[in-house]
Amino acid sequence: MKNARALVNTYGDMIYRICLVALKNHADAEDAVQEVFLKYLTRAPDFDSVEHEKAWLIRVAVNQCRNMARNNRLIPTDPELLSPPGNMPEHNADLEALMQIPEKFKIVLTLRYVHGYRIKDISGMIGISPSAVKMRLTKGKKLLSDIYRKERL
Amino acid sequence: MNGKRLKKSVNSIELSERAKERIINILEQSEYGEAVQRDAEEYVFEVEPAKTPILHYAITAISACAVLAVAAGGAYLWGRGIVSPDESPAGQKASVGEGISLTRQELGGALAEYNQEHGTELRFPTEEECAEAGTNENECFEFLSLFPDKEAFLQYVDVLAEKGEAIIGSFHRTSLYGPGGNDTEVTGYHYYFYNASGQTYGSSGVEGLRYSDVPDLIAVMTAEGATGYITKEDLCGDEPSSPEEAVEMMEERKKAYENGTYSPTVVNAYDTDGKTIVGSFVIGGGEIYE
Repeated sequence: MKNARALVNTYGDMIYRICLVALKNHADAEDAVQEVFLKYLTRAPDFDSVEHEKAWLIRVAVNQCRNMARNNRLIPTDPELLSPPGNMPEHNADLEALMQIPEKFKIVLTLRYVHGYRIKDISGMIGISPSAVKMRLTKGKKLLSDIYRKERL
Repeated sequence: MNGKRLKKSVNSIELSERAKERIINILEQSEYGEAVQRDAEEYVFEVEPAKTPILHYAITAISACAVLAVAAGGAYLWGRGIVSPDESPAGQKASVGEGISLTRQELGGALAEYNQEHGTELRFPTEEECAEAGTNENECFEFLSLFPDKEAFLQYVDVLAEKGEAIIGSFHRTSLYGPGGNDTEVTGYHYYFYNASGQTYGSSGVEGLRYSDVPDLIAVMTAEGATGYITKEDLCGDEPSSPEEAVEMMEERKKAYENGTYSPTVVNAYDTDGKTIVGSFVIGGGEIYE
């Protein structure tokens, strides 16, 4: 079990990325990070490994963001402000496109392509079958491609 | 879509140092066991976990998979889950659970407690009781504002952990002898826990709940008569991405049922770890509720 500082320094960015993509708002994403870590400190089980700990946190973060999105009327941050200064415009476009697609697709895309998890791992993390993960990846990629295509027109 | 570019883009997001320090301070001050009260509107409710009920109601199981199709102007039920009345006898009294105990807590201690046994009427605090509980009238009725409609409260109520946080529980009441009578009975309430994999588990099935309200592992009585948990995916199917898709799924299910091509499905029931199989559960074969 990590203490608060080690926890935030180790996993803060990772959880924040997941929550910002899901919630589209800096302040809400920060609140979500805080809530996830509170749950860790009060409810986390004994972990078998670092990977187990990381997967537990991701799972709880996904649930937390879903609940926040449902319970609150969240106001998205201006897309121009979502990426840190200095990013290439095309990277901002990627982030904006990812945020536009439905939550269930962007979560699996983020876990697969940003965090590098295998389909089997994602299946266990978010509680859907491997075939459902594959379907969401395929459809999510198509949705992203459609957005890119529209923006180029 | 370019995966590497997407990764680079998302990984450019970082939590600011200021935010990190703020979060660390809050975590350290929370003493890891107490809720952090950021403002006067946050409450913690504790529901006694030992009384977590099991899923007994066919109609309830279907309703748990309901999705509110706001855009289409109405509520729709969807999913492939139809719980067989044989496996989940509707109207049968829950064998677990003797009542409800709710405690409103602030960091300073308990403010008001609500206990309700089977067969008793729900009672709301009076102004005097609010005053006696050591709070002022406004604060007391702020609590009551969570239940704006007493009639609706007699149907079900969500128990919120904190404002804006997850619903940690909910319960509903139903009448054994007719709606609106005094012989009402608590039939279930809900409290979600996390297992070692981070899955939520607990009782499900409050009418009107949406997909996201349902825990990952839903408590059921297995075909073998034991308590177990089935997965949300097995009960509800994949989540629709729009109200239109929800309606389409519902229509497909209805058509299959009418054509006689809908058949019961046997799924695994697991222990709270979501991995150990403890029995089986039959989905399907009952009535369609809409």
